[in-house]
Amino acid sequence: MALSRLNLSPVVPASVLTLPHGPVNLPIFMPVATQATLKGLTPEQLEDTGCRLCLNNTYHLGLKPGQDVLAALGGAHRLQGWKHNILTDSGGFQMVSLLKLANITEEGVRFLSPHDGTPMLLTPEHSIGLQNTIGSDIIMQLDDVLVTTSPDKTRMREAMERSVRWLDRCIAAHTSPETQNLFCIIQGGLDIEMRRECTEKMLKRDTPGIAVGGLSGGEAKDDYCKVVSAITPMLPDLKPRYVMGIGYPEDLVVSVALGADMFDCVWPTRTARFGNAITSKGMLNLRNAKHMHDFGPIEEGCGCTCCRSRDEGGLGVTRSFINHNAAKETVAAHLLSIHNVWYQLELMRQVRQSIVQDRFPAFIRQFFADLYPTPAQYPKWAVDALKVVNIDLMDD
Amino acid sequence: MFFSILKPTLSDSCAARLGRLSVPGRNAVSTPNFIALTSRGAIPHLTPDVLQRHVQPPGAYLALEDFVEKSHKTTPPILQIPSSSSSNISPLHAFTSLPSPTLMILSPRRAAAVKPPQGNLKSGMSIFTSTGFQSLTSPAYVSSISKIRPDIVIPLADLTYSNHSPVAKRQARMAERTEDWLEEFLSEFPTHASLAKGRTKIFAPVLPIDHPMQWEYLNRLSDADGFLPQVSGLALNDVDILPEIHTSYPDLTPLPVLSVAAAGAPTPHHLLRQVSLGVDLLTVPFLNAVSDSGVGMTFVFPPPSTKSDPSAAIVMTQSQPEETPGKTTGSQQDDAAFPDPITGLLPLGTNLWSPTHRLSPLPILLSCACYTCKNHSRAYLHHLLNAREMLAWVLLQIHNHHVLTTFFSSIRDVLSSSTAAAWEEACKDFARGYEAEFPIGTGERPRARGYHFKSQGGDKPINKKQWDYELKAGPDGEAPMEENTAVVDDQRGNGGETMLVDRTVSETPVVPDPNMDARDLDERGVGFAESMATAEKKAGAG
Ligand SMILES: [Zn+2]
Ligand SMILES: [Zn+2]
Repeated sequence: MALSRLNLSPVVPASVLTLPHGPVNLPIFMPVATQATLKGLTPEQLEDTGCRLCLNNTYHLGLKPGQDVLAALGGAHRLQGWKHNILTDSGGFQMVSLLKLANITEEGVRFLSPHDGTPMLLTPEHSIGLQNTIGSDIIMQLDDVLVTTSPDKTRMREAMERSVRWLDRCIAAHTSPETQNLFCIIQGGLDIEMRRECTEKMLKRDTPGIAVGGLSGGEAKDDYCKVVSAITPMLPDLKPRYVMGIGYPEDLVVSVALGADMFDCVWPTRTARFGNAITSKGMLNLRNAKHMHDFGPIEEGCGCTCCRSRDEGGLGVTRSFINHNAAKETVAAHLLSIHNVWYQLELMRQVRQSIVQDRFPAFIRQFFADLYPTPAQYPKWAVDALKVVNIDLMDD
Repeated sequence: MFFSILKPTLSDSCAARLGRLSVPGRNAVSTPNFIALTSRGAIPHLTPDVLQRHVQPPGAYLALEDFVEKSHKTTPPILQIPSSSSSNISPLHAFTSLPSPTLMILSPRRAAAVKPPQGNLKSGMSIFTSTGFQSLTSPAYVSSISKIRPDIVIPLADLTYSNHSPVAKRQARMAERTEDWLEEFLSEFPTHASLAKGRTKIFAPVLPIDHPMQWEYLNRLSDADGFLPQVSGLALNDVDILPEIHTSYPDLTPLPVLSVAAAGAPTPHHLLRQVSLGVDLLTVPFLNAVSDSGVGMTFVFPPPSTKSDPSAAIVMTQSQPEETPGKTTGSQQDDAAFPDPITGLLPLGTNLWSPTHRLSPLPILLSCACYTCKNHSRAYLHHLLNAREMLAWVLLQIHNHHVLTTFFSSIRDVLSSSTAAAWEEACKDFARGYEAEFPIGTGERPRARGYHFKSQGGDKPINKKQWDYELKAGPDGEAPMEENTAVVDDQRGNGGETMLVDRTVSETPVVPDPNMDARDLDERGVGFAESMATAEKKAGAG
């Protein structure tokens, strides 16, 4: 893996990350193909959105199809017919958030099998073993995840320190560092000092990439921004900085301004299934009756396969047709997923271009101007966070 | 010429024929061929870009009832969509985004339609809209057609949509009404400027009743002073009458024949029979249902022959189906080509829910060149079904449509190069070589959609807000799922009877929540973690 920076900005990175299945441009949004499929889209359709790096969830793949199938087929790329890059999480987050009886010990995550009540154990070694079988281009360490809003300082410190120890076990267990890039995950809740301490410790392990974990769990946006801004200045220029679970457009652009460059979220495809389109003017619920006779594209000027007219080689899908079939035929969800994923990737392409052309502050001002009818409606957390990095949203 | 017969009826006993249907702006359709059935203007699960690239359906069958919503309050959007700058894009193409080369056939109702509880009125046909049944008269229908401009339209027919043949008196009334409605339809048709040019062709309905009950109607259809000059084709609701039509009404013989019999063709065996009877365009009612059931079709025509292909015979004798599931890994033999060890018959399809496919790197059908088979294994399809992922049905639809496309192109090849005897022999080989029915898909079908789940009593307001600014508030701005009851048309069980069901009971989720809960850990589902017992044993040993 190699990363080359395209800009010299001390904070906002634009770069090319070369991975085993081809180069990807950072900053990047990664759609989440949870169970080795992106919600009804063929790999070819996903490729059409410009996606070259998507996520699979280790926890889900471990359940279905199971490690033996992944091994027999030669990994997740082969399983899903995806020629480009894959990132997998460690499975720990899902384990803890989905299994209420999970209990974390030094060994790993202990839980009762929901199937037969047998006590089970997920260790850093298991997680890496499965990710090695999956063959993803980027793999994540097993971490001790705690909600950032947890008031228990002692437990938070324990989780942070254990995550460092588990990182060492993950590095030791990792059998294919030449083809799979292991990222550490910085923990420490909302405690800035603890985050800095964790960052220092993990940077010493010199993993190819760095992730910030435990966020997007219901903390205030101000707190989120403080954590990201505290960590990114400590990171080396030539390593990707991945903030896990972030996906709302304004969160993405603000996070880039704060120095992060990799993001993932299930939201664009999930919300598509409820008839919601992401646009530069905000979310559009196409199930609303006002769109019944709306024969315009999902978003005017959008370059996705759905929104482009037939003359432009697209499908010329109308809001009216989505309204007609939303929650009725799966085709409407697929079309909206194509649009939403395209929107997210295109947003990051534009962010990147503006960084390279040294006009990112102007871009971000226009982005908020499009999204909100008046500056008075701009979220305070975004205005404040951007001020810290010398971007004034209210500046004309 | 709209329809030309390239090779007429092969013999007195075999009416199969080759033809070509040409409509300006559409791909010419070589016949016999199949027409894809749509639901609410979509070929289920297939987005138009996938259709363009990988399916290229020659024709699509659409139902007006799928587009009529809240018609008492507002005009259905399909009647309002602005005209495209390109004359090749009909409003129907524009609204559905279906590929412009695809021929559009409009019918008042779906091929497999819900039975109207009150029957049809004298004035018109009862159609099932999202707000319940309403009557569609011929003038209203023609007015809609003038705005939608399909390539082919099927006028109203007094169909009962019942499993049982109606009593003689009702049959007589069916014929009378259909004749009256068609007369009204044909007189109304030229009054609309957009239809006067003759681009929209009319396929007159033929009723699913015996010839003696509708001979007067058929007489008028075939009469040069009657309906014949305005009629370009026939839409059969029961194919059995076709030989009598060809014998008794030679003037109807040059017309292309479309079969729309909903229950008439549950397997490819029935399709071959329809072709032999002289049907040119066939709707394939089992196609979407077979895909939904998780079955990938594996039949080819003519069937692989042990006589003519000795290598096939070797494969067949070598390869007894494995006793142990999952042991077939690495085998490059196509078990779809294996006959059942007891019956000696080849399967029409393979149930991808079956755990035998869990580790199989093979495509659904080795000889298939479709997008699915070129790129994806049975193991992946099995996984997708098992995980209730929507892509399973997308990939199955691509494959199954391709199998049908290949099936019909092979049918045309055989017809063009063979005598009647050779054709009949090929059909017999198919009947002898393949099982009578599709295997049963053993898993859940996708969530009932569209037509099968029209809400009762109209849509409730889903979201009062015009713009959903929840995004800005932070949490996931998901709209709530809709009402909990719906009308279900159970195609399999009770032939179009409607019933009320609770969604939470009947619905198979198309989409599992990505954060699916712990119950999803199945028997293998302990997955990558190991049991404490094993871990402790290891720890003890180490
Ligand atoms: Zn779009
Ligand atoms: Zn295929």
